[in-house]
Amino acid sequence: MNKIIYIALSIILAYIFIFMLPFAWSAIFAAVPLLVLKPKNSSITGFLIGFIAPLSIYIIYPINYVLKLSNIVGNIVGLPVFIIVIIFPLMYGIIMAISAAIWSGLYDKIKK
Amino acid sequence: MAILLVLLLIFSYVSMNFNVLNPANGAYQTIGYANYTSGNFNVPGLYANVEVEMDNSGLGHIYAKNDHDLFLAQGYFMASNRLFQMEVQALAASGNLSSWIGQSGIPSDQAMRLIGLPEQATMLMNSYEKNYPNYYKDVVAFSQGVNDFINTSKVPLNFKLLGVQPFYWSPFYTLVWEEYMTWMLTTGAYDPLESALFFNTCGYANTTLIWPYYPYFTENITMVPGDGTVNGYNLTDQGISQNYLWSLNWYDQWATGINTTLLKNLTPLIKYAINNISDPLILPEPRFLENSIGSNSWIVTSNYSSSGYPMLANDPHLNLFAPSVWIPMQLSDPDFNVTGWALAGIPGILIGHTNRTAWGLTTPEGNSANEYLEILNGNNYLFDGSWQRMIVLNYTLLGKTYSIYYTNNGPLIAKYGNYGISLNWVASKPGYILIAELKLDQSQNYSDMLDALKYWSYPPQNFALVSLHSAGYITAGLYPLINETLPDGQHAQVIGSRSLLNGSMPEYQYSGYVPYKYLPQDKNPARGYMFAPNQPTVGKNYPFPFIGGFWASGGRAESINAFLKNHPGMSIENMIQLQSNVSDYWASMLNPYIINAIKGMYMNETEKTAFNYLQEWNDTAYVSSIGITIYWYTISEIYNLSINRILNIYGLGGIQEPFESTIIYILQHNQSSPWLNGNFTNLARESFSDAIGFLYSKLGSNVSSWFWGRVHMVEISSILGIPALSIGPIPFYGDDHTVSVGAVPFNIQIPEPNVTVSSSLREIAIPGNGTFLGVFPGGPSENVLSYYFSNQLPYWLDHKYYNMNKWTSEVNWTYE
Repeated sequence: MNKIIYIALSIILAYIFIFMLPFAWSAIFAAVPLLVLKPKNSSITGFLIGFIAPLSIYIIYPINYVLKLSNIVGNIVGLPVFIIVIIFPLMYGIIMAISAAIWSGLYDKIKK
Repeated sequence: MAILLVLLLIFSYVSMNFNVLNPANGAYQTIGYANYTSGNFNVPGLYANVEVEMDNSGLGHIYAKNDHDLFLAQGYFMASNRLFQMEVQALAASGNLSSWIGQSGIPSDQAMRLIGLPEQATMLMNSYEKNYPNYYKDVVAFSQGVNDFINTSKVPLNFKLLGVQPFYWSPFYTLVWEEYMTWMLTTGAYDPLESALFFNTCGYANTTLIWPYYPYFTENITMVPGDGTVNGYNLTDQGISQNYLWSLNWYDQWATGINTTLLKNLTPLIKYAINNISDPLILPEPRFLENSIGSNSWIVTSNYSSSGYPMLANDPHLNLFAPSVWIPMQLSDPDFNVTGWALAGIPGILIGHTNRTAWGLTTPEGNSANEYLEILNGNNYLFDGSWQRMIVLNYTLLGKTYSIYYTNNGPLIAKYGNYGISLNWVASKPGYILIAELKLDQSQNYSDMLDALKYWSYPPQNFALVSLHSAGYITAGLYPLINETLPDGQHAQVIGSRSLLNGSMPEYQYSGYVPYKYLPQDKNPARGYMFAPNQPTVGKNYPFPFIGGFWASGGRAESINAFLKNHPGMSIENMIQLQSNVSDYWASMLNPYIINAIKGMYMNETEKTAFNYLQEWNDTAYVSSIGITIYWYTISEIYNLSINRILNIYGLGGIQEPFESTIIYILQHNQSSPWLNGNFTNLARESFSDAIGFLYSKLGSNVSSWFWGRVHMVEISSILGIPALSIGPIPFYGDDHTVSVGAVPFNIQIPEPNVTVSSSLREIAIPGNGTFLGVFPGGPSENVLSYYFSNQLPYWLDHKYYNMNKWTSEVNWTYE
């Protein structure tokens, strides 16, 4: 039960940071509550939260506008639309996964 | 653990490049600003509520209770639609673009500083505040409106893409942008340098043949009908024979104070000067005798109009940008009720109408700037026999300090050894065009408009004016005069020069300006119409000869003249018909010579088919026309094989080609001219074969598919030059000389370079019966995701119009 609360807390932090800060490295702090999980689980959970949370935000926009804007940005930077759409969630997920693993590892060491 | 930490650092660092893609507060956030919804906005500083409507054409209607609120609301409305455009333009004009885009902005910043735009804007701002505080207050209110929007923190898309933040607006930015537009439309800044280059390399006989003082065939199609007499005054009244004056060599030492041998030695310095004042962001190549920016306008008097009321049409040709430099608006309060197009960043309406008046602008092409040769010794310059100390102004860009040196004539734009070239531009002194604009916006009759234009200082513009019952023109603005002593000892006050003037001799300094009463003008002409598409404004008997008049070829003027002459009782449909006209007047004169030259030659099957199309062509440049494609590539090759080849030999490669009217003149007088390779028949045949061979190789053997629209397209470029934010390319009609213009250089390439200069708006007005039609290639918004980014484009492409006097409201806002 406690673990679910920490996961929920991590999800809430992820959304707060995504809305408040433009930086993907804010995922480092959103991953802190996941330190109670085992490093492997922490990492997987962190990635899922970090990837899905920003991805889910697209639903607040009309999909045609998301695609149009992604297409424009893609044309500017020379990347396909699909990559443009998922690259920030992917970065956020990866950073959160690594952070969660680090926090969890540190927590384990402190506990020992 | 260490590996994880390293990975974390790497990914965190790399992720910084993708902050703009944060779905919550990156670029996607601006999706929320794309659609307009009605509502109330808190706009600090208003004295009372302001009602704002967006109509179905995207035109914003602002209803305020006082002038302060009107301009504050205009600033807020403009910023909410065009903040990025306004700020990037202001930075470019103030010579500070490098602060946003880094090193690549330095050449543009240097050019703007050298021309002196930031200093002039500061001087103008101080002068407004001191001398015209009531008008200054309007600009301050406008600035507050812009800043109110900035304070809403709704950062527009382009700021996010560029990774910069908006800066607070001030009257300085409005005025520096106004100065920039003035510079863009100032003629005479480059022309004397360019014609001096041509004279230096080709000699006087060739220069007058290729670039005559008045372009061929234009003497009888001037803006002001007649011989040049204005308000009863002309050159003859001064005892000067116009034939004598226009037969003189105005490149000679008596006219410029510079020995022609010395002038020849200055060729590298002249080229250097052209480079230094060419803004590379606007003109990728140094600007030679370029003539791509023009405009159309004409007026029809009440006697010549089917409605019994005067009519006006105007379409200024400018670089097309997405978003446009224009934003359509109505401003209404107890003092103002004006509708038309404002320049983004500048309060008021520049082109438009009130309920009783309407006006439009074109560029007159006469010198309002001149270049002077300076004799230097260290930091001193020679003037009237004594050495004077130059003033030095330092400025810093990206940590590096640069200096500008000033003589009494203006900034030194090029320097080599003991010689320099300075730029004397009328805008170096305060001019109050904003007052003229706001007075026009309040005008109720023809006299009001003439009174308003007394404040119009620079750049000189042909103002087409109509009121309920009168119609006419005035070329308003400051034309500096030079008091020339002619070889026969007589004195003539002339406008501009064909070459550099000697800056060390007081006699070549400005001696005043053309009096307002004698500026080119006429009202309700007896013939029933006037027109001003950049052709000479006045005839050769004008009391202040335009020596520095570098006019357009007059092709559009010929077409307009022919149409108006043949349509007494002009109707609104005729006005639209003329504004959408795509007949090439010069082609109608030149094509018969080409056909005559090639008709006897041996042709293969493709050439025979192409020749038939050329013979049957009616000189129009529709998207579906085939004859224009064959003509254009043939004439391009004629230029390549003859004139451009010769110019290259002279080291003038890249210079603007002579007008087609010059070729026609040479053909009429000497078909064996060296400029036509000594034999026009051979030249035309070779060019036709080359052109058809090229088209065959690129477009295939089916000549019936060689549509103009396959090779001729328009592109409305993003202000950042980013293709993804641009519109087009779109198949496009017209060419350089059609009224509905689609100018491209003579090039043997498929497709032709995109058309980037065309009608930036189209206006037709009949104040007498309340008819006001308009359209422009874009929309009010700069948000590429918004419907209002390009909502008027389809109408513009199809030569359709919105009724600016009758609309349905789509969005309503209250600023409170």
